Amino acid sequence: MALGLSLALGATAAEAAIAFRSAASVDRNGSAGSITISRPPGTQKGDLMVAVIAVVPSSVTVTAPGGWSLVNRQTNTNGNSNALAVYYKVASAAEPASYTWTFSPNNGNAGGIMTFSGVDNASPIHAAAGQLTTSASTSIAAPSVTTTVADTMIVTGHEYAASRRWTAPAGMTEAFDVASRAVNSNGGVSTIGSYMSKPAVGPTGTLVATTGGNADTGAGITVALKPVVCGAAVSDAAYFVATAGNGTVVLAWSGASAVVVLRKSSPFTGEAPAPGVTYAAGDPVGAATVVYAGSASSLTESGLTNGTSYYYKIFAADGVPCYSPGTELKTRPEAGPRPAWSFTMAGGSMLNAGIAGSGTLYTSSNAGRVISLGTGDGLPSWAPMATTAPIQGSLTWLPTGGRGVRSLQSGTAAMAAGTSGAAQTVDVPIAAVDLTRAVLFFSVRGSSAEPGDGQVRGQITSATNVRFYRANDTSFSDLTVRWTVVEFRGAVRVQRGTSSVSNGGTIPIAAVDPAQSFVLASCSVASTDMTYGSDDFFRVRLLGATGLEIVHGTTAVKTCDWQVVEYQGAYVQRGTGTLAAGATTSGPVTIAAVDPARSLAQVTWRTSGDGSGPNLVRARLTGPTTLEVDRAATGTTIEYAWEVVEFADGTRVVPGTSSLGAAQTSASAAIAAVDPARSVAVLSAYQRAGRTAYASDDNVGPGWFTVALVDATTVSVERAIGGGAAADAAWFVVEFPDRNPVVLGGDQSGRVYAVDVASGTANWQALLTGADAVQAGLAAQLRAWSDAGFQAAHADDLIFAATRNASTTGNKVVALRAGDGSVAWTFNETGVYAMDYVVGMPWVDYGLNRLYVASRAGSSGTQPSLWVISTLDGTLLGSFALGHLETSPTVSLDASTVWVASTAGNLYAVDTATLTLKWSGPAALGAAVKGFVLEDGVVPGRLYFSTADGQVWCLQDPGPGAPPNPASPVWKRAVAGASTPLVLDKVYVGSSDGRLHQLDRATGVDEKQFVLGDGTATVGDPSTEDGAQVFAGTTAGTLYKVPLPLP
Amino acid sequence: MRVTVALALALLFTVGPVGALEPGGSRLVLLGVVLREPGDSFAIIEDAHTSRVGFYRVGASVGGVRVTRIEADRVVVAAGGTRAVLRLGRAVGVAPEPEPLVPVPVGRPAGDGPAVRPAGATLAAPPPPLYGHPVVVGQSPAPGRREPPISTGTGAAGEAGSTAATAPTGVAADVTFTGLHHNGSRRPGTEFSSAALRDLLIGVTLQRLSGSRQQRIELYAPDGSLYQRLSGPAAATTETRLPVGGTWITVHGLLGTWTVKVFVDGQAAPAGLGTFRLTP
Repeated sequence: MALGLSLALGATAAEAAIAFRSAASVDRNGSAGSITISRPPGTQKGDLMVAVIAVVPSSVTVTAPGGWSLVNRQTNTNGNSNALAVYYKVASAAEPASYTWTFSPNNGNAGGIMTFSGVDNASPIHAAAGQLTTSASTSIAAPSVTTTVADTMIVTGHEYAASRRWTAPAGMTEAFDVASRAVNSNGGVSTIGSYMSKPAVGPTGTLVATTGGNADTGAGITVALKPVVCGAAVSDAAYFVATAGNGTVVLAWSGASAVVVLRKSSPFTGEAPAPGVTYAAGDPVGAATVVYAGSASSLTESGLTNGTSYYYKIFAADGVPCYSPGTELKTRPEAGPRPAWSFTMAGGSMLNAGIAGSGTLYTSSNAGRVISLGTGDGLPSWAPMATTAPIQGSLTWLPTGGRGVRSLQSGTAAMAAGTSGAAQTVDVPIAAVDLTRAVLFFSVRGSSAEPGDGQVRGQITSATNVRFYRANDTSFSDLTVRWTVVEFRGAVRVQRGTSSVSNGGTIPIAAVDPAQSFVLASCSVASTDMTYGSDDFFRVRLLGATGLEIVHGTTAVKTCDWQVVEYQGAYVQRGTGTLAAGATTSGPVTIAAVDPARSLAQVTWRTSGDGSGPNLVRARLTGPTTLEVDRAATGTTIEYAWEVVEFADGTRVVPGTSSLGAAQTSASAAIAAVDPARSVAVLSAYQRAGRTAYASDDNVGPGWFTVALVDATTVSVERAIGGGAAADAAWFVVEFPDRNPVVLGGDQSGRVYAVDVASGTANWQALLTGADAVQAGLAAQLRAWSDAGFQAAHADDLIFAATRNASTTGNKVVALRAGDGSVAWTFNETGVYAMDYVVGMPWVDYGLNRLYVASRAGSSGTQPSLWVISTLDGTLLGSFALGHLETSPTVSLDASTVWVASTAGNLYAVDTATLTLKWSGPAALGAAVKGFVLEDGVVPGRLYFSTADGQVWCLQDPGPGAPPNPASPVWKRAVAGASTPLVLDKVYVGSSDGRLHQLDRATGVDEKQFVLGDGTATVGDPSTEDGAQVFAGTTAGTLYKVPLPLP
Repeated sequence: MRVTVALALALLFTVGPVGALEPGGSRLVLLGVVLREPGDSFAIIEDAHTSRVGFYRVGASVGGVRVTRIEADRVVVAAGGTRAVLRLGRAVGVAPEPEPLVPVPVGRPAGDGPAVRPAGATLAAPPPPLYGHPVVVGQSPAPGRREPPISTGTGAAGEAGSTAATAPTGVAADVTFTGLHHNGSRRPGTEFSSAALRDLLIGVTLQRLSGSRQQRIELYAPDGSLYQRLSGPAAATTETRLPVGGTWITVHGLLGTWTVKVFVDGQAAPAGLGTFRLTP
């Protein structure tokens, strides 16, 4: 049947208008000394309550209950004198059941409370005014107020000195109408509370309420309530996950600045935080409870009831606060041991159980995230990594990824002493590097009081050259440069330049993520600059994503070489500060907590004057949350900029300080062993400075060092001259990671991702040319496991990605280099072959350097559908028209056979030696095979698979000749919606009945069934880490770890 | 056959009395009714507990209660001798009736003919959207003109279709489906063979859309689970391409009635919804 519904929506949460919720009042309270008015029903935290209190005579003192604020009081001494007062209160989460106003002796009182939602809590009263009716009348006016914001709520109170019922002002709605005495009576007092929405700004006009008689004097008050005004719609947290264990749920979400998390024990039915209202844990929101309000990114709930489903919904908040629509998930603590834990990601199904090993499981969700979980506790190892579209194919794990150091070169460059009238340039040839991924680190030592002589800048000037430069001087001194060039495999992007700088201005750079980027810079000065001063030290910092600042203290123009290093997997903090002329230390500079074993600090500065010691500083991490910048001598004001770089990709940092005595020019320090092939030693200040008290002249030599990693366990610092002054050099040895493993997957936008398993960041992602989507899992061929032919053809591992295009003829298979995602070859790049889409993971035959790819067979069903492609160059070696294939091809353990099945239910076997069909015809199974065929590890040719008609099969390949008879399988067992089986000592399959089934491997008997969660979701393909447990995901977006054996 | 349709919505009002009928906490939402010849009418009810949407005739059971009567704007359900009323557009009342009727955003007055696209009609060919990415396929309908919101296919209930009035300040969404089949054919409808279906185009027409807004489509599998969210810029008319063939949908046999909900910006309630059925 056809069905479409249009749902009429009112204002959105972000456009919430003020709404009247309810009212309460007290009629015929007589002349009591107090009036107690109930809290209007349904009043919630953040609602605004407006009370209208009327008394006679006018001299009566009115005392409001705690928390109520007076908006306006009108005291009418004319005629039968009377008074009217209006109060307001913003409701808290715990309001009393009633409120009592007390009076001095009086002749009558009456009042009521109106509650409104959607009022600005911080400034609820937009305008208010009162007016007296001094002559007896049955028409009592409240004055006009003028609103200057839209969507206000106009509230009025009217009162006169008689007991009578009222008619609300035109256009207004009566909320209550009460009198102190029985109506109609000349004595006492009566009052009416009324309200109306006012969408437009402007005057309200006079608002007149009337009674039917008993004319008397009275008063009216008009109040305009200010609405909550929300800005742009607030976006939900990018992800929301939960790990449930024994009585606990650990929630985690993306780092929105502020969030409110609600919990219920039933599905949410509209409960949401109200705009403009600030919440705290424990506050009720309808039937839900606030369990967290703040800016953290995780929450642990304990003491929960096992076996109970809990529903959590997270709302991101802006500064108003206004809230996002919210993201909901359902989770269910269990006592265990089965399931050991469950992990839920909001936003979509999770039917791949993932790949697990070494204590970590990697999987993906339809929420568009790659997920890493500790198999022990089910907690995320890193923030789930976003993909453009869902990855549904199985992830692929590779032991060596694209991160880490491709090459590291280091050396010493001498800038020799001499007499010259020209600048000195020293070119150092290096082995070719990729300029976009190579970084130069260097340090300098020398003995010179002249900036033109001693200030050296360095840069990688080509793929094969590093250049060091100082300006011309009449007399050069000896300088020694220790340099290291680190070329990264990936995840690092370097831009560099040479710029003229002075005391201001911004150098434009290509956009970077400042939170992942740091700067290295070095400068030379003019040849005529013979004295160190305010134009010789440089402060360097990033100004946002596209700007770099290098400044000194004067307008003189200097030249600087700079590198901006964007390092995925690094977290960079930065800031500036000042050392006053008389100060030696910054004291502790507070930073966001870092792990000092993974972090380095660097500082640059500009100065107000000359001198050596006062202008040489160092920077150190003095704790996880503190940085210190200090010097050994005072005398100049220093403005410094600092960066703290914390690595999260497996990089290790060894920090240290070397202190040199007055006559000492070198020192060595022992460190925990690092791999010199991927480690570099750097100094914290200008990459060359330390602190010293040397103050005899401008010679920076006593405080300038070279630093080098001598061997795996030794760091050496050297200076050219002691100068009779002690010095301290702060250094860091940074050991970059080896080639971390990666997980790879292709998504439904046609992108392939290589995700570093240590950091959870993408080493690279590649948008495949000509791909609408990638559905199939990615196959890989490791170079190290391949034969000489492959190794000769390829310098890297290859990843094979096949397309799932809308076209039935234009699909491709792309081979990508694992290191950087570049294309090695593309099969069917120009559409020579009519290739339909591929959804099954291709199979790599290492022995023959072949890739077997199964595809559909086009709109006619007659196109080739099994493709045999050379992994060496992507050429076609053979093809078969076997009908529509939506499974993965499976190569037998002896590599002699490829099994593949069609959607029509035909199982084929192909002889890999002859590339001919092995059987005389297909085995007609009657229904499509799901996923792939799995061969038994013990009995050759024994195949396990599931078919779309809900059967799990065990079938024996009889060898060449007649196909196996599907009517006589080893066994066949019906399991509703059976998934692809996992074959361990038992056979495990997920089912549409919400259960994990355990079948006997020999007989197929359905021995046990284990319900996952509440059993309402379809269970996907199971996986395991080591055979002692099963992981299984569901359509509900929950993945379970079920230790074996099943109960 | 004359079909009177009264479809409306449903801002997830809970069904208190039904909850009382079923201590387990089932909450039912009446999404719509389709009035046909006597005995052939059916109600569209969502079990908010499971997010399952189903089609129920008199006598059918849902959430532990039994449908006993279907009227233009309400459905009477019963369990254990207790009756409750599911109303379009508001919370249920409890027997005995009557309970005051409330204004219901009904697409057409009772007695009007259905807004039905002729069987086999095709939509104007839009540019092919990327998978999961909505693309604008047309301009906003002229003021006062409503496009047929749905099209008929080979659905079990046949030719039903409707639009609903919109609140003065609200945004409303109409949802349509077009199957793109392996054999190259393109067919609108709400029932598709998973064996033949390659991709599904989800068409969304937003009424009263103004300004720059975001649209979110949520797809619920037949078991009630949220299968996927698809987000993108809102436009008067968009089409979003959902891959079906060879995806988890077919690999895991997620067959049955799917529910598609459309949200705009910060709306907590859907601006529109539609259902389609996948068969083997």
